[in-house]
Amino acid sequence: MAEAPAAPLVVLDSIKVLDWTDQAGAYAGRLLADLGADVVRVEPVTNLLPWPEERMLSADGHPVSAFERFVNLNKRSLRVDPHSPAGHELLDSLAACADIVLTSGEAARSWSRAVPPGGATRVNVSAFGNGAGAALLADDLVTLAAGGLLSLGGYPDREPVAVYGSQAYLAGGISGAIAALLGILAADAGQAGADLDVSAQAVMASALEDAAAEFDLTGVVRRRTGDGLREAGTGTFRCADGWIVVVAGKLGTAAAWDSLVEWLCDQDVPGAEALKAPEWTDLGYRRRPDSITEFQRLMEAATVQRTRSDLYQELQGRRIAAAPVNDVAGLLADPQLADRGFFRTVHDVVLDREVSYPGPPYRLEDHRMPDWTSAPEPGGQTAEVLSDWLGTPEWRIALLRADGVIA
Amino acid sequence: MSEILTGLRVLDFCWIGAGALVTQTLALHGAEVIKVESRARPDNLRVAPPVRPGTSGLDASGYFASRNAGKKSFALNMSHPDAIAIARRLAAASSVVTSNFRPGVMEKWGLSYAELSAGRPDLIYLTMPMQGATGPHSRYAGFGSTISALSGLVAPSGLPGRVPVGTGTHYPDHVPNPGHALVALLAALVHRNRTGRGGRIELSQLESTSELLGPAVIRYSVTGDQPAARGNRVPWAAPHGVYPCHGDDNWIAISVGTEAQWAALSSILAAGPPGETPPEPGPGLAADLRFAGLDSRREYEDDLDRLVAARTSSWDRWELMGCLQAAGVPASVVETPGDVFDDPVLAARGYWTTLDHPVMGPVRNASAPYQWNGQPVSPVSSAPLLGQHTEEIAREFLGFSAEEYTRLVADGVLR
Repeated sequence: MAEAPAAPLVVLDSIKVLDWTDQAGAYAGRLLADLGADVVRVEPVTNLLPWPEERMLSADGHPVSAFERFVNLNKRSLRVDPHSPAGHELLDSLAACADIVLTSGEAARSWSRAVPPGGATRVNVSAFGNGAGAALLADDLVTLAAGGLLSLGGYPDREPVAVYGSQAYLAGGISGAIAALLGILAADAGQAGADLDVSAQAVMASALEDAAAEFDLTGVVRRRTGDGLREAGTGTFRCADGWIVVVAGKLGTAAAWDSLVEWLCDQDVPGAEALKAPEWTDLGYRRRPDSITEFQRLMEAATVQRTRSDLYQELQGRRIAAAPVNDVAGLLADPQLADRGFFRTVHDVVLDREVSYPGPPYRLEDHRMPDWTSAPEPGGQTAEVLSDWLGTPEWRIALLRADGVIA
Repeated sequence: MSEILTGLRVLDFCWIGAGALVTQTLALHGAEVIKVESRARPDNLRVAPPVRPGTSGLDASGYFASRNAGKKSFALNMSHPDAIAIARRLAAASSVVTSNFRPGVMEKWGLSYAELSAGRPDLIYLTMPMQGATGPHSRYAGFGSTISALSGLVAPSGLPGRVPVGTGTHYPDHVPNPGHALVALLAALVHRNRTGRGGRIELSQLESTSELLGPAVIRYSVTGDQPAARGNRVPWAAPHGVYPCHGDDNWIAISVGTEAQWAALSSILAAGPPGETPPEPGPGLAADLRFAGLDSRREYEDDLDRLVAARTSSWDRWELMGCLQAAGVPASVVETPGDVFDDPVLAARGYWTTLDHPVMGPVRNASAPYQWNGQPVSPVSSAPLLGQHTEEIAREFLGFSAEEYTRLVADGVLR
């Protein structure tokens, strides 16, 4: 009988990642774990990380952070006292057999800055990087401010308003994963031990669209425009159950504008026929304040009685880029995402129940992807990891546990 | 040192925003990125503002320049029937092929993954369709702003009772979509270097952006609670907001997560800006019982924000940031797109690098957001002129004679 072909390897087969991060860098490890790397979170023995994010309640009534459950999916967890000499030594040993040592927050400050022994790639994610800004303190909001993205959000008549959902933490994590993978490529090419220092401020500064170039070339500082339309054809419009976004202006095509006008006329909106006049085909005319006001009035006359999902289907049917402003329930009900099986269910060991997750954010269609496992309980795999990575015998693990070095 | 992708050839059909940032990062690390475009149908970014006053045309866009540094431009008119064979020859000599057209375009040209990977198991093929290549909405039109709205990111971003505003940008094009695509592409490169096998990567821009709503999806599935628009406020810190400083439209972001930070903020605000008469002799906000403890500050957050704003407004924003940071309070100037060029921390990291562009003159380009062994990873050449490398690639790489090249240009194949 012929031997069965060996199962293909997962994408990041045999890559070991020591993940000693807080909220600022933990998403980097998640992205590597999704690809099959063995990602081990380091948690302290006492005073678990506070994860300053919105809470849920665990099966036994403890507060649990949804953000923490999200960023730690598919990882293992080890609890160790980093301040004890034995704990420090243990961390050094783990780092020595890791391919990637990923740090952020307090961990990075309390551990030596030197590249760990063994040639691992060192990736640190922080708000301002390890250089001139190393001592500066930041959370998500402060990082968004420092990188400039915050200045573009919100309404002209009020203070800038931050985007929802810890985007600076997640964006820093994405760059951390990119840096880690570049470090692996370098190590495979014989340049092991790269030190990669991610600045989330810099990540945000790269997200300013055309605004940085605009200042550089013209000296004009772009400001937040908020709820005001920039042109007739593009904007956010009220509908019966919320809002719908339509883009049929500068970014759209002439055909999209014509199609939108046709649609408005078909809705029997009184006055919509006037949009067929030749001056409305001129983008300059459509950017005049009175044009914008008139268009918005006509558009909302047509949208306000209809639901966002109705409008979405109907406008897209006419090749107009439109989208509902979804809440989370709307997102979960999206027919496209449902058809592609985007949302998955995982039995969470801390919450002791089924939990929905999105993702992953891409498809590697010809690669083997690992099965998903629950985000761990802190310290859920301490003994297992010490045995797997270091070959630590059981008696030694028991001793370390009795001494409070691990938990 | 950081040029670890030297020798990697990427045939790049990406255009506009998200895809262009993926291949720009590859070029930053030494990959040879051949951008296929044409005068018959230029990349939309080439006609997008901003432009330096006095310059114009397809080589003058600052937006294009910010996403295409270090690439080569090969002008190939894909609507000409003779172009397809040339594109296929280039693809056969490339290790990575990238695109972000709507589903069906690459297939129409005979450049599908199935065709290009025949006999080439090591080919890595990245495609970035708006909502994925399959499914009922796979042909829907979209932009970064519509994807943001669909993903659930816009609805909770704004002030209660007002139109939700999101980031004010096409955020998915700038962060999650190029970022997640790079993660997948680099992982595929790691895997190929070790196993010799490539594969097709599909990044649905909707899925990639919706991924960032993960925590909200988890919480909704457990509690049924949805995030609501709440401005800059969060349950775990107060004050947590953006407050006015001296001058026109100048702001500072402050986050107070502990009682020690609250004490420090109150004391600094009570003392007022250095050299000025203190606005309030005595303990100031620290003594206000409404603000004793996080729960109470949250309860009286309207009053809290109003009183903090009244005290920050006479401060120079940079001076206040310095005082707060020195006292252990997370704070930053809300930097404008102009401020980021003067930011001392970014400057010390060598984040901006000036490249001379033949049409635009000196242009400041961003480096990678990470330093490599303490050094910035910066582009060394600016964005290409349209077709700048056409002759070089046609003659030296594809081996066309001078006559053949001239004929292909005259026939409108290479234009």
